[in-house]
Amino acid sequence: MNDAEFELIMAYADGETGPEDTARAEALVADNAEARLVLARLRASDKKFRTGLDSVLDEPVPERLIRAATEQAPERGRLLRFPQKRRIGPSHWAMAASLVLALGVVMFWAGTPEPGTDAMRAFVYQTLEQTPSGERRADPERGWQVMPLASYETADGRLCREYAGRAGDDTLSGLACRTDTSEWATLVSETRAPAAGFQPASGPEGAVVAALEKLQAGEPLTAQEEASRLRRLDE
Amino acid sequence: MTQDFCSQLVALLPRLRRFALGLTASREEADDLVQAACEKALAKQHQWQPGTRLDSWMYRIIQTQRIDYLRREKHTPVSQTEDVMLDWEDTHSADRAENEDLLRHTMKVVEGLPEEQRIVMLLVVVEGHSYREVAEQLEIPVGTVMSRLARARLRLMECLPAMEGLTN
Repeated sequence: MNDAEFELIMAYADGETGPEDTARAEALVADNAEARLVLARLRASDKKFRTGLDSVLDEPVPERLIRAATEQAPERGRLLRFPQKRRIGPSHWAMAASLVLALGVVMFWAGTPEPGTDAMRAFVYQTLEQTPSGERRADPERGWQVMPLASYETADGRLCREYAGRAGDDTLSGLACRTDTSEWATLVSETRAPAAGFQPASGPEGAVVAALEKLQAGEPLTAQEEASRLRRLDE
Repeated sequence: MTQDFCSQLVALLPRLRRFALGLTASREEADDLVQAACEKALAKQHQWQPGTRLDSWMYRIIQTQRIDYLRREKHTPVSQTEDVMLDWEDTHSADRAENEDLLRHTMKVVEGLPEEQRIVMLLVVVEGHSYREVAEQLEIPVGTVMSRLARARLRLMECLPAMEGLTN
C-alpha cells in the first residue's frame, strides 16, 4: 500500500472523503486485504490513543489549576488596574470639591441590591476601614468574604476604596467613600450570582471607573500611602 | 462576563489537561502548561468573543504557551519518568488501572512523535476536528494536516502491537 492509498484510507476513516473518494476507498477496502487490515488497525490504534488520554478526564483537577482559572494573578494588581492616567479636567474640580455634591451627581446605584442586609454592609465597611488592599477579610459563619482592591484619594482629600467580595453564592463589587462623619457611603454596588469561586473583579468596572472619574480620584494609592491613610482613620 | 468566563474555563479544565498531556507527554509539564494558559486567558479574556468556541481559543493559547516555553527553555520534551507516573496511582477500579496503563503506553508513543504531529493527532482523533478546521487553526494547508496525521498514525500503529495485551 502506498502513501496515497494510506491517506485515502485514513481520510475515509475520518469521514473526510467526498462521494468520489468514498467510493474509491470502499473499492480499495473491498478488493484489498491489506487495506482492510490497515483500516482496522488504524481504528484500533485511534481508539487506544483516545481511551488512554480520556482517563485523565476522570481524575480530580488539581486545585492550583482551578485557582488559575478563577483568580486573577495573585499580585495585588492595584497599580496595574488603571494603566493609563485619567485626564484631569479642570472643569471637574469645582464639582468634585464637595463629596456631598458629587454624591448627588454620581448616583450609580446599579439597580441590583447593594450589600444586602445592614449587617453585610457593616461588614463591608469594617473591612474597608481596616484591611489593606489585596487582603481578604472573611466571616466564615455567614459565608462572607470581602477584599479591598484599591484605595484612592479624591480631589477634596477623601478616601475611597474599591472592593470585591462574596456573600454566599453571590459576588459583589463596588466603590465606597469615607464621609465626614467617619462612616462609609457606597457609591457603586453590584451583586452578581453565582460565581465559580472567590474572584476579585478582573478590572475596574465601568461604573466604578466613572465614579472615580467624577471624584477626580487619580491613581490608586501605593501600599505605603494607603497604610498611612488607614492609620489616620483611627485618629 | 468574568464569572461566566471563569465558570466555562473551570468546566473545560479536564479537557485542557487531556490536550496538554497529549501535547507534552508529561503530567507535570501538562499541568504547568494548563496553569500558564489559564492565567494568560484571564489576562486577555476581553479578546475572547462570547459565542465562539472557548475550547479552541484555549487550545491555541496552550499551543502558543508551549511554543514559547520550548523556545525559552531550548528544551526538548522530557521523557516521563516512571516515578512521576506512579505518584498518581491510587485506589481505583480495575478499568481505570487498565486505562492508566494504556495512558502510560500512549504517552511513551507520543514522546516519539514530533510536536507538530502530536497536535494534529489531538485535534483530529481526540477532539474530532475536521481537517479543514485543523488547517485553519494551525494555519497550514489541508495537505500538510493529512501528511502529518498519516505519519503520526503509522507510528502509533507500529507501536501498538506491544500494547495489544493491555486491552484484550
